[in-house]
Amino acid sequence: MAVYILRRLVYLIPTVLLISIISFAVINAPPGDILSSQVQELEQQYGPAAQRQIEALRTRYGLDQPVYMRYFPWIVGIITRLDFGMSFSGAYGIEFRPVVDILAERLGYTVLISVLTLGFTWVAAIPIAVYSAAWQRSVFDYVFTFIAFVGRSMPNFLLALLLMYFVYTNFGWSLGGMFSSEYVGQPWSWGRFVDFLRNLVVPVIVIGTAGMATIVRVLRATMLDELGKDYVQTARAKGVPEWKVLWTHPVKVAILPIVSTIGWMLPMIFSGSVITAIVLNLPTIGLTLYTALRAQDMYLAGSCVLVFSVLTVIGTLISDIILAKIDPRIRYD
Amino acid sequence: MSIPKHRNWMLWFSLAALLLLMGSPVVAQQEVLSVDPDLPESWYGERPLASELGITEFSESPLLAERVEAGELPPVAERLPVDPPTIEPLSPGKYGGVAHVWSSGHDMGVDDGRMLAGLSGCYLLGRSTPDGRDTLPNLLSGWEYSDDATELTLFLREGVKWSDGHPFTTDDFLFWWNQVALNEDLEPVPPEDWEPGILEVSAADEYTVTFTYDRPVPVKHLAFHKGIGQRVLNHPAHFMKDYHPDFRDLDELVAEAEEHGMDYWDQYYEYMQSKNYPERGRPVMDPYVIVERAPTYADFERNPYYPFVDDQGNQLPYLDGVRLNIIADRAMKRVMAFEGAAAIAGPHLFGSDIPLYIDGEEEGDYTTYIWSSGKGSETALMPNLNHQDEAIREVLQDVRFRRALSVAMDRDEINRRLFHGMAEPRQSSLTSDSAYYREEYSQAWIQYDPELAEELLDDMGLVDQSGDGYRQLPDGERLFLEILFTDSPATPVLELAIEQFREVGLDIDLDMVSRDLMVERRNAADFDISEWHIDRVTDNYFPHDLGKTFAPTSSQMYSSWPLWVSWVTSAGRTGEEPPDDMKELLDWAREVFSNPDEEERDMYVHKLLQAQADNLWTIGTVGEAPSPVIVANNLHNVPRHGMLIDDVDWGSVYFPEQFYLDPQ
Repeated sequence: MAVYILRRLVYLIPTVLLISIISFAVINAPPGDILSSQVQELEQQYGPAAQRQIEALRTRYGLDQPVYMRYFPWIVGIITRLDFGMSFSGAYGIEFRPVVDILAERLGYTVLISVLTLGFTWVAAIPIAVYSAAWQRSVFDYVFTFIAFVGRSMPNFLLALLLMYFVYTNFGWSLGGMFSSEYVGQPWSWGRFVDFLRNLVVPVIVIGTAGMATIVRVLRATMLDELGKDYVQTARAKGVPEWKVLWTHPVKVAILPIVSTIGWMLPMIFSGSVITAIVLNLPTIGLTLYTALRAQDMYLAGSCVLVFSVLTVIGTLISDIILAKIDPRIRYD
Repeated sequence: MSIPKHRNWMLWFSLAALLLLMGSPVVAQQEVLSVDPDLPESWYGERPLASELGITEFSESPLLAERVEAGELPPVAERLPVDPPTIEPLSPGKYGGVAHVWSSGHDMGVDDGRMLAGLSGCYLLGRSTPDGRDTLPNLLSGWEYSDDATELTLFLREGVKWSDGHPFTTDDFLFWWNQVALNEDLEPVPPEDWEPGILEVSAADEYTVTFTYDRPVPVKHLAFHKGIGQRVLNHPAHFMKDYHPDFRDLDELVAEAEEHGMDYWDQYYEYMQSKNYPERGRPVMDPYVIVERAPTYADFERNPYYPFVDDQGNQLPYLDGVRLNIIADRAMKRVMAFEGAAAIAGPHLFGSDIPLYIDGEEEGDYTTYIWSSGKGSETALMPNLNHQDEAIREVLQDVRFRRALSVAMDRDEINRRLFHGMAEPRQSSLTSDSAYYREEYSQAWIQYDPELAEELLDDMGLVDQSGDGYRQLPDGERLFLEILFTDSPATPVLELAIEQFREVGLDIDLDMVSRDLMVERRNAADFDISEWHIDRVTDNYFPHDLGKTFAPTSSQMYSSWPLWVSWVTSAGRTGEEPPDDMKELLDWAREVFSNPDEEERDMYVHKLLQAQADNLWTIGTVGEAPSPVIVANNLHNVPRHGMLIDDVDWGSVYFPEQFYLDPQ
């Protein structure tokens, strides 16, 4: 087992490196760079000399270098010094800021929202799926199948808007951001904590719903497969109570495909939450990636993708380890 | 990982739906005025000095008084200039309160922060009058032109200080000139090549500095915008010296830069120069100073050294501070405004939503002020005069075609259906407040006359030969044009316009692309017709940016003549050489920029305006549209009318220092 985990950890390194190379190349593929948006301003200040100024700025920011000459110092900086390079982006004009600062102030919220969302998804999805499978074609099953489909097909941002509208008109809560305005920038207190939880409810529900619907459908289908099998019949014949039959045997089998989804659930929660983050104004990395891509802020965008891919491979690793632990059929070679 | 390109559209659509759920629209009929008629007389003149008003005692906010008591600050009289300039408030203000606004960046110069403290360098040194017709000394006490207008001497006020208390003197100008402008690392393009070129900056004493230009620069705001304002105030000499190799050991400085993750000192210098990071501590001249920055907000406090007082000797600004709440998407701002969460909101609110804002006033405890957009046209069509297809280029370069497009549009319908009838149907030209305004420019070819359009097109030989209902080129080839644009408030205007074009047999469709692609294709002149708004056509900005509609001098990507602009801005290295009639426009533009004789200059201004009215280089739709400004009922002294546009620094020429909040 230890050897297995160690080997998987070693595999991680080339995987992440490869992802970083590809994503960096893709980010740099579109024409133009961060200076493109400054051209008009520079034209007015420098007149006919604007082109020369732009070329000079390109040199200053290293934008005139070929992609690989930008990639290598960047990745070496990350590996050796945890230096993710500089973000160039300012709201108006170029502004320098270490990428690592931007990521650091957002990573906490991103992980928090993701973990809570994942937790919400599982806690809500598994009982629903098990119940739906056990009482197939019951009213409850139809209702949840319907809700699951709606949850799967409705765009997240629309759900976010509807929920925002709902809580605003019914509870008078104005959501948007992590805190209500009176608590922003204040030290932690009980009131602030409650406010924080209140502001988390909508994003967690919104981001979690789509994933939840998927899990409900997958788990329900696998459960239905398993429920017809001989060992379930045997257990029932032995007189084992129905709830025990369900939770001890078929669920254990049916949960396996769900466990293997942790790997891709994590990035889905990060990236899938971009639009929700925009609507609900959450300071997550997904949002940073989005703005960085728009501004062609290459090191920031590249670093976001790198963070995502590291989280994804870690997620995959975790799910593999859990699977190896709970599925006796997996061999360690 | 997929990022939807048109999420703005989705957001707007759903927000519109959301707003509709919240209340049914009532059509408002209010007059759109760009200048509040009730502004005090003193706003149109030079800042009166405290001594002129007989003020001898100065007072300050209780918060600052506490800090003086604690020994953290010198007393107010020592912080203020020797004889401080005054600003007359609309009504006597009270100290206190933090104004909340919503912004997409941590910089007061972005979005709604600008309405409270936009004051870019230009308006700090010299501020425009509310009507935009004149620029008057503000931070400076005055200035003087040489007879040929090539030399501009500025007079500084004695005792003006940076936000850390260090005096603002000609040292700052000289540092900027010697260490920044003439430094090849920081300014790779030498100042004599700028627009306008600066040959020399010299100081006679601590408070007198002279700029020598390579040509006359008689238009005041041109000198301030392009030459001085935007540049000098970003380099407080006493602070930036510590990051400049003229005053430091270069190796040591480079080592320090590397420690911060940068390769060379010039990057590090630029890094320290940003005023948006409290930890970097760069002093400013602005009314507010950043004190905290987090992903979701930025907090600003009043600058204790701000050199202005009100007409009673109270130091401004009245507000204790400003909180910028950072939002990811500007569309969200509308929701926050609607909920009454903002002290003031303006930029990026849509005129079409005015009835909704008015409807929500009671619940949100705010009032909707109707300002003018200050634009010559909200949406203007820009036929590509540099089209790469010869046959199409010939059509687009034909003035008859552009006139036909113009008269084929029913601007009243556009106005009625999309602007509640509150905008002005007009051609692309200067706004009606301009000293150069003439009806014949703004009304040229705006009549709705589809018969005339058909006549003009027939005359060009563009007739329907195939009988499919659309006109073909004279040789029978299909004439199909697309309007290149990116999703914006212009979308519904264009949708109405193409319907009207089809009525006269023109096969014109919309081509909506992402912003990046649009910029790329515009710069390369790879489009048939493009779209942009006509701004910078008030007297504050004119003739700062003639490129959008008057002459191919600038604004390559927002114009009908991208390749000619490229030729001009690259000094002939890229783009296409303009034909003679364009060169004539360029000559006139040069006169407008540089002719020290006011009468002659005015003559050339009118030549340019007349040329646009005749030739329609860009085709206007409706302009000077209503711009809603939402003002919380506890925020006072905001003018009822104004212009909401960059030309007036988003309202900061209306003295936001004297805004005040009701005491809590």
